[in-house]
Amino acid sequence: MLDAGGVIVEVLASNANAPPTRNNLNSWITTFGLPVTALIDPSGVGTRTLNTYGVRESTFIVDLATMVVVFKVNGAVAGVGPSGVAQAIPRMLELLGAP
Amino acid sequence: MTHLSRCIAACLLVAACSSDPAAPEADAMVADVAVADVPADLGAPSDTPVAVDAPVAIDAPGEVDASAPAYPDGPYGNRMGSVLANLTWQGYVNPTGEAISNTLPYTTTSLQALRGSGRGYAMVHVSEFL
Repeated sequence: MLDAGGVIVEVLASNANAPPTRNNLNSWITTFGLPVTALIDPSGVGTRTLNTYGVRESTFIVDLATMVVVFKVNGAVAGVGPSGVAQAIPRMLELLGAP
Repeated sequence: MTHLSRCIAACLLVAACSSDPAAPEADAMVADVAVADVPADLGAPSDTPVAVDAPVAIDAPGEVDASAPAYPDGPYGNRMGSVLANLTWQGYVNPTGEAISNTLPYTTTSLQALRGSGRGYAMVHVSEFL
């Protein structure tokens, strides 16, 4: 996806409905060995991403020219079933014209 | 970075998103369909004005691609067909996937900054620390 011009943004939006910390983010990245852009809300704004974008395991595909949401899926919040990312990847690759 | 390693990166993200060791196995998937007319799962209206960030110490300043067009005007929302609001975040910007992200500088960025030249598509995933 990155080679095809895609942008991947992982936002750690909450920690038990509280704002996550930098340590939480580091742990998240280290646990899964994440090599993608990984972010949290700035301190002082609470769980702004959660409040603005929606519940966790919301996965959006956004047209970067218009910033319009062209695909949205809510994955498995309980860890059972396919994740939102897994469901979004085929559509993302299709949009990017990637094999 | 090779195509293979980028595929591995995507797979790792999938693994991170699907892992939930603290969750009861009996819980079912909450929602699994992308539908434009489904009400947003929000505690606040999706077009709520975005608050100004408090200043914090960071390792490196964020940058905005000078070629990026201005961020589209609202109203904003989180449904299909809506313009996703431009939020500011802190963390690790890793557009190439060439390293584990927390080996990179901790910085401030935004959806506008990550937008680059405005070509292509972004996948934005909202997750929760467990």
